[in-house]
Amino acid sequence: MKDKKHIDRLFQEKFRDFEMTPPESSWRGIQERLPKSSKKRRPLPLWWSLGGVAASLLLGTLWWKIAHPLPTDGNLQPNATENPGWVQNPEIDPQTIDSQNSSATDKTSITNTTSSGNSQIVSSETVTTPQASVGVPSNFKVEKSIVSSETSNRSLKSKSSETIRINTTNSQGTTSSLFKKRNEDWANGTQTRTKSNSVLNQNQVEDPAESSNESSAFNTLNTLSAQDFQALVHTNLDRIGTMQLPIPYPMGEILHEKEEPLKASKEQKINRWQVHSYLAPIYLSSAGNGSPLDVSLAQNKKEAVPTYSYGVGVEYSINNRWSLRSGINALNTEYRTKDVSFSQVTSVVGLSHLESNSAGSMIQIESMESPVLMAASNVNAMAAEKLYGEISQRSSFIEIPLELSYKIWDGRLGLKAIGGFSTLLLRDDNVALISGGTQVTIGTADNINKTQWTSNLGLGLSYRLIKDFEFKIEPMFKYQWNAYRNSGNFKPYFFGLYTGLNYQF
Amino acid sequence: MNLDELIRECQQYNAQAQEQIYRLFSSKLFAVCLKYSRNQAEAEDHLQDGFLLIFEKIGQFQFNGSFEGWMKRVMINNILQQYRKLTSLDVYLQEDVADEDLEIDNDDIPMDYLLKIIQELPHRYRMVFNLYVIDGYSHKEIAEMLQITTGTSKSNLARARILLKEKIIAYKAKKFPSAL
Repeated sequence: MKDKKHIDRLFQEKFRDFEMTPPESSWRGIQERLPKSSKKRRPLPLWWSLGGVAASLLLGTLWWKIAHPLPTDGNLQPNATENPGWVQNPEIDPQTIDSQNSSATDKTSITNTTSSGNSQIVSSETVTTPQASVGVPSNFKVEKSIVSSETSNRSLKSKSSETIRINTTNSQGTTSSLFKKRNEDWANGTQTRTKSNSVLNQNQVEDPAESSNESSAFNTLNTLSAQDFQALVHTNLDRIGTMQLPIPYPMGEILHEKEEPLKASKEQKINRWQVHSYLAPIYLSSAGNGSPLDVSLAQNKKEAVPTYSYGVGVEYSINNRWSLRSGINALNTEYRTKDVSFSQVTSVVGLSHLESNSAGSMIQIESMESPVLMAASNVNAMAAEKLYGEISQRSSFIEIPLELSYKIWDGRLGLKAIGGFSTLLLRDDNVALISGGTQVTIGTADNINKTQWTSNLGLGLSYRLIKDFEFKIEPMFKYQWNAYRNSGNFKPYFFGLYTGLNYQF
Repeated sequence: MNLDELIRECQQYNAQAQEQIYRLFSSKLFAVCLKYSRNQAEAEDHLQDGFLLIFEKIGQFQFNGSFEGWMKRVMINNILQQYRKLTSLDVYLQEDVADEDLEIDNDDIPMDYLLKIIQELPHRYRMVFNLYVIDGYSHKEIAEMLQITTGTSKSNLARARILLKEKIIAYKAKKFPSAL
């Protein structure tokens, strides 16, 4: 006796990995019918998006108010509609739709309206109120049909001019209709489900601004949420002055809830903007050995003191890979020139680029490296007591970077390459003498450029913490082009490890 | 490009990404269409319509859950929608069938044949059988999706099983007359 298997299991096992390649003509058919996005979706700036949303909300509210006057004598009043998504197809005569049968079963009708020539009802269904629902007459009929106003040989749902029509018929046989065309709001990159609707007089022709809009989101019946659908039906019923009709339509909900909860309206979120704050230790150095202060100090050892930079930045994603970023930072630099000696004298030959203050004007500085004293050295200077120390030149800047970044790797851990330039605006600088633990400011440098440029190059490592937050570490190398005028061979650059948090929206 | 990126590209209506997604998933989704449709021609139509819907709605996918599962739901949903208008033309019996009656010999029956007999089932039986047995929905869910009662769903399933079993037995009788 062969072993037996339950029929369910037989099918489950056989179909578990069932796959079959469709004919190539299938893809071609899809390709032809896909909306051609000939206009490139350019990302719009944030304020446009916000403005678009605000305007739509305003219009929607206004229109909702206008579209819902109290029912009068059951006549269909022509209503001005500000929503160009609603369109009436005057060629469809509702009488051609077979909706007079008052039995409580589903019915099919696929009818051609020969009078209109090229309009066809693709599919329609009629739902009558379930007996079990709220004390409503049982012969209410709500008919939903998908109407296409163009035909093609293969399929009736070809072009962008499909319309959903909802007819509601009460027991007296009065029918009111709602029409809706495909509607997508391009401006803010979302697929809008307009809950608002209007009832149009049969004879009134509306010319929607968007009828020539390229085909886009189509609120098929089965994806109208329960509330949307109820709202539409309620409106219809209001029109014919009857009670409200709750008709549950949870098919779409169930299918969505199989794995995830249904959201009533889904917005397409493209996170284009990011803001970040960062803190960076800065390591300065110089290519070349000159001195910006005086040529006599050229041989001296220079040391850069590690400093910090901090600031905020903003980044805008042009597309998936490229972004543009800018920001504002505070940057401080400090260079020390070591091995100098100084003494207090009455007549000082100052460093070429030092603009001394009152203290500085009495201090003679010499390099211990340089065997030759400055020209016109003062005899008195040789006799005075010499002290030893170093010169510290500090500058502080406001840095405004402008950089492009390229995403090499996108994932929880991300890697990008960053390049660009910064503008450095000098806020203040000072030169000081440091010796034996004390510091005396002796003046400022006169050859620092107030506006400087750096070229920046670096990498960005990011780690996504939670949904829109990332932690970043970006080592960046910045070369200063015109830090000083006449600085000999002193070409400063710095390297910063920018770390911080990033927030996208 | 990984799948997430492809999806994002599709959300931006990138034609190459759309084709890639089609190439990746069309075999599985065509299989789904074949099970739910009456024949290959209808399945091809449903595949096309389904993919067009998928590409339209892809902006609604929120990257929480399986993308393949999401696409499959859109596809099935669309097919159910198509057949809803036709199901009332069939007559459905309501009866219960004991479970033991649904066992059959564990012979190797070709897949083509099994697919064919599923396709030959009356619409509602075919829907219910696929949804319950192969795609794992519960009777409650099926009842809501098809707007029937759970009792109807159960009896439709029972009837579908009986029909399928009868066909398989008849098939084996023809193929292996000596085994009986």
